[in-house]
Amino acid sequence: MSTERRPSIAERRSSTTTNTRPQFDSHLSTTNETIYNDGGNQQHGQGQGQFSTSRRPSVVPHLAGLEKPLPESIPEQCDVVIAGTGLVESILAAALAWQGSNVLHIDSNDHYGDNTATLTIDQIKNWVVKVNKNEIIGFKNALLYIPSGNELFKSKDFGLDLTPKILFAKSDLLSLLIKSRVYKYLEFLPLSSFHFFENDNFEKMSNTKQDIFTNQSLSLLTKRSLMKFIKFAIDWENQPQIWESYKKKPMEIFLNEQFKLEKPQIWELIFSIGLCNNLKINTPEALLRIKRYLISFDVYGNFPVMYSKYGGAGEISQGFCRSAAVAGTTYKLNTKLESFDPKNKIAKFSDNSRIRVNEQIILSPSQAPNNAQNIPKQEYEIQRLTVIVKKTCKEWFENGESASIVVFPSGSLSTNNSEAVQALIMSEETGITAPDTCVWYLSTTEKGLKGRHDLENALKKMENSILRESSDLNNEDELFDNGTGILNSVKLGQSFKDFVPKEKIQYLLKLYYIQKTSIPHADVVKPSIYKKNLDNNNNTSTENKDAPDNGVIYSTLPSSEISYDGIITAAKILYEKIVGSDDDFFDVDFEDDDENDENNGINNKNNDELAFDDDISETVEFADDMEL
Amino acid sequence: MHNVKRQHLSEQVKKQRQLKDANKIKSYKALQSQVLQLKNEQQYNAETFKLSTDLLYLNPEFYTIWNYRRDIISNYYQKQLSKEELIEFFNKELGFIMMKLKEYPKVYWIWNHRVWILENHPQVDWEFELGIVSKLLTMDSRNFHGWHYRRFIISKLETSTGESLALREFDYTTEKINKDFSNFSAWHNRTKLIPILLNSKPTTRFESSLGFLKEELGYLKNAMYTDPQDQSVWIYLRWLLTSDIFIKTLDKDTYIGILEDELKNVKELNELETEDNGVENNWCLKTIVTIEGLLDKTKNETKFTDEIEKSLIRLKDIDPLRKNRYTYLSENYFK
Repeated sequence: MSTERRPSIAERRSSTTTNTRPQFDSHLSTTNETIYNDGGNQQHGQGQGQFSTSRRPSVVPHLAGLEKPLPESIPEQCDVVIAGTGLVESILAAALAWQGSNVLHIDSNDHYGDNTATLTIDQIKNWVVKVNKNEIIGFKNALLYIPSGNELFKSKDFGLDLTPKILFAKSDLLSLLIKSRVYKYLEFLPLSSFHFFENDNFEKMSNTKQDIFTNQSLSLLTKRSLMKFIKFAIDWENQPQIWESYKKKPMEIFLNEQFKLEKPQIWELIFSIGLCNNLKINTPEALLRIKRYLISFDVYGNFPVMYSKYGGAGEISQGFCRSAAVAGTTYKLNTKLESFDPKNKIAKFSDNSRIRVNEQIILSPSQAPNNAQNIPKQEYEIQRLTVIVKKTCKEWFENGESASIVVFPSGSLSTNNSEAVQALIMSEETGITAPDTCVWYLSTTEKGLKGRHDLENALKKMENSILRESSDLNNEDELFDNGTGILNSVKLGQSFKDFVPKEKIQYLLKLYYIQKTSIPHADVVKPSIYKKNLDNNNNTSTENKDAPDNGVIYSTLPSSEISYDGIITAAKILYEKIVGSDDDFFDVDFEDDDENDENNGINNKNNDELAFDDDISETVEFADDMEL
Repeated sequence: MHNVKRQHLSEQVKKQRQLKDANKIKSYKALQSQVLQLKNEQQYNAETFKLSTDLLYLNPEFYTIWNYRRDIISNYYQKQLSKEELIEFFNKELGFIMMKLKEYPKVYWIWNHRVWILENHPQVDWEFELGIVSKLLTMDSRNFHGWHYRRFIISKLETSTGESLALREFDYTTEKINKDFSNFSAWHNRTKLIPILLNSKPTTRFESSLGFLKEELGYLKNAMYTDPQDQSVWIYLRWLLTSDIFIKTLDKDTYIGILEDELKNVKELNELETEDNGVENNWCLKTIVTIEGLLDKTKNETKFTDEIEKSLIRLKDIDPLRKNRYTYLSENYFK
């Protein structure tokens, strides 16, 4: 099978590269030291237990060496130049570096993360100016509102994500984080509250056997149908006889006809569990999205989703950059590609340096040189509204958690929205905002002015809801479910139509902008869109003979997807394009001395808990008393 | 163990492990014969106590050694130590057991030993013990050792205060069942508490056994419809329909009415299941057989004989694993 395959870079140059790959743990003493100066900030001793839910002091290592790469001159040649330190590009850089390629990774910004960055308030201010000067490809129409009177807060108290995302507990990115050991640079927290907005109410979802059993408002038949669907969805691929005739039909129809489910449950499954944008989504696509939620439950605990503390995609991309640096990648910020000459393979940079590129240039559209001619069309839009409120919003979180998701499905807003509005709520404990404040990330795939109105209306609903819920907490008995004593969202479910708030929400910041991408909405898993994109760029067309971006491969700008799905797919396709196959994508064996770390980090949690089933012995005990 | 990935070791790694283990096995065997020798010599002192600790560290399943350990405690420590010293000693022993339980929550002998220590301990904090077992059941709500131990603690608490905790414990089972109704232990504990509660009638809910039974059947119906394949639900249903606490307190016609309602209910669910899956639900069918048998027995009739016979034949088909049990049932049914 491999006879067809182009030999990888490492294979072709095996004689020179075999001993250049440094050990993961010894980067301070290898030749990387000049590039990757860790500033004495060794973090390996802290690498355990990142999946715990407890709070610990700053676990995320300072990427000292990465923040200020030594301003040494660029080497004479390299295998791959990657421009842009967004998440896909950073994963790609690390994968290539560990495979043995010589990578130069640059970014025109003075910070890491590119279009997926996590920014402080000061950085946001600069970013907005640049966006509105059309200096940043991929974003437009930024509006920033910061009221006066908040001088007490420091810019560095905040880390806002340009593309906020959540991580499913069973997903390719999480597997890679573990395999690559990049998880050691990060800390993850659980998220289990998914709220659903309908009839001016926030409803709590019933998505586990426990919820379905105890939910008083579901009929017996609905309970049965819902449970049946959930059992089916976990293994849907193997039961095509049930869904094949609905392959090109909307999920809504499928759920109604095949499982006799009715609107409230269908809506919940499509919009909350599936996190779909609208009702047009076809059955297989929706099933895929619902399944990822269901199988993510109980992987690390009683929650389907996690997020990285101190910032999302921006933090994770820094983690991968760090890993890439350990494997020998050279980093250079504030550096832009000026031009590339595909004939003699020389790339020129904004600091007048140049490099011979043996293999390939990967260029994020956001990093395109001036006068670039081949940038792929970014035809899809995501509208985002990010606000920081002076409220803890703890009413919206599950006990012990610090974040939640609120979904406004089609038609639930006063603007009669056709696309859903998704909101990610993150409090102080997530490490991205100041004490007693909360970040609300709202987004929609609706276009134009309508999208903005939808976002503003959703914001209004959230405002009213949190004011109402936090106003009369003296009425505590309402918060407890009879019998179980579990805090539930009875109050969330109460209509607040007649509620007149006594106070007003105070904002520290409001930020609105439009994000652009070439990836169709809710279409994150199909490799074809990347291929097409790549092919387009690969033919150095005759018309643009002198274009500075001839012969480069453009990566894709971040999609509208609220999870990290599609990121690894994108990185792998680009990797394959360069190396010839993705067989050895992160095929890295780390030294065995880390074996214990891994156990401590994840598995040990299981060992500590006394969690084993005992069905068989139970049956015996029970049968004893139950003899007929 | 559940939820823990089995490690597949290559031949080479296996050999390395074996080599590494060889020394461990050797020293374990030496320790074992030493301790057993001392046990035979009835040596009860601080030195032998320590050796039993060492051996139990290596093998907590070795119940002979736990027995020896208790012999040492009663023949040495309980004779030598003052009350204050003994309290301290027993507390230390409870700490040791707790450590072992965290590691091996399913070993009978460790639980046994804890119970024995508490029975002999001059000064037990029972509320603290209840806290411990509640914590354990939060982490693994289906550990039946934990439930068994809980009943022991509760009876001690009840004896010391003279107050019944049955109602509180009943609510506790409800809480656990609401979290996950595939929990035989919780349902089982319910069967222990219901007779007490129907006797003492602490709240209106337990005033009449009929009212309570109906409420409980409604609760169970929720579970049946949510997951018709969950056996714990069906087994609890069988208990409700056959328990003396109800049969002896309801008049015959009322009891027959309950059975008939339940038969109708289960048949309806079975029809839905058949419609969806193309095959009957074996738990529904088994329950139908049970209820029909109960009806015939109560009314002293043979109305359902044919139907039961047919159901048992169908059960052999859909549940071939228990084919011979169904054969046995049909052969012995009319004796």
